[in-house]
Amino acid sequence: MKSNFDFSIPQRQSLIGVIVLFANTLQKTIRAFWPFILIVFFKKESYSAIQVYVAVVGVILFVAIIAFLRYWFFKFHIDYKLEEFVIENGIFNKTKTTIPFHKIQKVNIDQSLIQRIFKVHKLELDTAGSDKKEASISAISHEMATELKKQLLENTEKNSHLVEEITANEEQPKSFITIGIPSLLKIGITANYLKSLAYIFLVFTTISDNLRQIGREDLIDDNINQLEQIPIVSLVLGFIVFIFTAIIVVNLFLTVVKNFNFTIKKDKKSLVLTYGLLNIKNTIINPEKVQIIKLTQNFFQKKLDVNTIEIFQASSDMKRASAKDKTKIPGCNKSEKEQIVKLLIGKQPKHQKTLVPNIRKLLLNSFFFILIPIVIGLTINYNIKNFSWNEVAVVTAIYVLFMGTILYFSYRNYRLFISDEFIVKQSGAWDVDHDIMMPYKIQAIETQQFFWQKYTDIGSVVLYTAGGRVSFSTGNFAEIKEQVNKWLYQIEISKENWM
Amino acid sequence: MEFTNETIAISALPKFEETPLQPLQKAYFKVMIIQFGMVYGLIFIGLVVVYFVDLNDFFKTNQLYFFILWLVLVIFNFLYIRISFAKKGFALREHDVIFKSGVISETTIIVTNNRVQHVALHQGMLSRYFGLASIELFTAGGSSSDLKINGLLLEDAKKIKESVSLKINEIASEIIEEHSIEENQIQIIDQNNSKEESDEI
Repeated sequence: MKSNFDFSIPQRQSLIGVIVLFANTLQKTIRAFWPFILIVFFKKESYSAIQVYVAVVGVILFVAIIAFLRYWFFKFHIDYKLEEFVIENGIFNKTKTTIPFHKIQKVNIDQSLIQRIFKVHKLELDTAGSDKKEASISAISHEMATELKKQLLENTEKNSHLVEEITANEEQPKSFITIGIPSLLKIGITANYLKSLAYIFLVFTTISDNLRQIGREDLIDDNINQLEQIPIVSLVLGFIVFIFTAIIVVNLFLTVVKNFNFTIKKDKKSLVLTYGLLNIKNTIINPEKVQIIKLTQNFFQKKLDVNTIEIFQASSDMKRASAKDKTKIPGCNKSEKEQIVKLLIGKQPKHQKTLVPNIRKLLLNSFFFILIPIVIGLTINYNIKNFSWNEVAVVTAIYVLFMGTILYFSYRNYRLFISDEFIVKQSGAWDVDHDIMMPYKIQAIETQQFFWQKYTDIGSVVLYTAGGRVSFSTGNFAEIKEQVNKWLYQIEISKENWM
Repeated sequence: MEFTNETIAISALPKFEETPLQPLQKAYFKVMIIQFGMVYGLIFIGLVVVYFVDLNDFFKTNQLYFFILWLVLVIFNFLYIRISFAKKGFALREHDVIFKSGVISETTIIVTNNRVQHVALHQGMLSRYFGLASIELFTAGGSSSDLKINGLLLEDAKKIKESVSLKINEIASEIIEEHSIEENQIQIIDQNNSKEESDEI
């Protein structure tokens, strides 16, 4: 077929792409200099209008020039003779990236919010042998993107069988599962409390740090002084209420923005996930490459019928597992979860045999997480005599109750379910995880036993896969060894491709 | 292809824990001791130097304690090396490699031949003098699942490397064959598709 574009001569991006590059550069500049901007805003001296005007215009002009130069020096072409895709960029430091066709694993066409406004597309090449997206063109027209993708894939297919055809906007396969706002809201209010707390903490410390640096601690001190006038009980209550609301609001916001319009499509053998509000992301999951599937659900989520699924994929060959190959599907209900699991591993895992941890696991954990902290706390208090015995008793009781419950549940939930085809590890106190893996995906097995565990016949096992590891500790060592022998047998006779 | 699906009798499977393990070469103990001796020798020289250049007499008053500490460390470390050397052992089975080590915690790593990505043979300066080498089997399971055996005879290490490499190549060629079969099938399907298309036209 005759192409409208001749990719053998170097091409620039769409001219309108300058605006996208401008926005991109502006965003980067602001991100790099925001503490500086904050200082300017909060400085006690005031600036004249002219000064502000000149500064803003200067910055914008500077960014615009940079963006234009980036546009001007960014060229790409296909070298049909050498079978390579070539990108040249850089204003002062010229970079030339060549990607041989046989290394191209997939070609993605994406659109972020800005790119959608200006009707341009981003094209990314994913290659074997590198973690990051090796080549990306941020602003080209739709026709050019699809044409380029077609050309790349056509040439790639001739060279290798590695290529996975990826569906982009032009060919819409039937949507398989869509996760709606209600499910996302359910996840938002029931999960990731700690993550959001950490996020809030981070934001607060950064702000107060920056205020301090520019000499405006008085803003913080004023607020703290005001707080000190409120009675302590209502202060504590208020603080708790505030933290909880903040966590939930941040949670909801983050979950919805990140996973907006989460759709899962089935395309030939693989799953294509599309999600995001501001930044639309496109992920492909190839069932063959899936090493571990992790299902997470806590008590609330069980009542609301939502699950979180995390999928750990093997990286491209000869490469080690990395965080990039982890994909999270939030908020699917039971039937959707079962559909996804079935698509990835063929069937629902059953279990024929269950390994339970020895009671010593609970005792040992209690020793480390209850007894030792209490002894340390009491010793410190004995020396500094800060709190009365009554106060200490109350705090200790609450701690023992809280920690004891967590330890008890994490002990009770700690299980390894084994069948001929699957290994499922259950763990966790509040969020209960199920790590599902298949014996033939195991890369190496490690058994481990402390010398004092010999008399009680206790030991641990670690199963390594190309997408992470699963370990089970303080179990019956004889049983573990028996299973290890079985798994070794299964790995050694397996002809299935583990990725 | 003949298809069988027999029940696996777990108890009848070969037991990895009962596999007799080969100890490492005796010469490797010498290598370990020489390395150990060099480290502690340097510390001893350091102590002596400090003794002579000591300015504020702190060291001179406590010199006995420092040397006792040094001696205790030497004895304990020597015993530890001794035990850890005795605890190390490996076995090459038909389908996998087993390596056991550890004093306080006994660890056994098992890597099956059909999961090895590549093999590396290392030889340090001391090891070369004693004709030793170490072998490392890399898997896709991350760096902690790589299996490294020190203190092998160079010939043995080469043999292991060859046999495992051979296995990797066998598997790789099998996979390529499978792929070519798949490709043929795809081509056939493609032809069918094109026929259908032409029918429609």
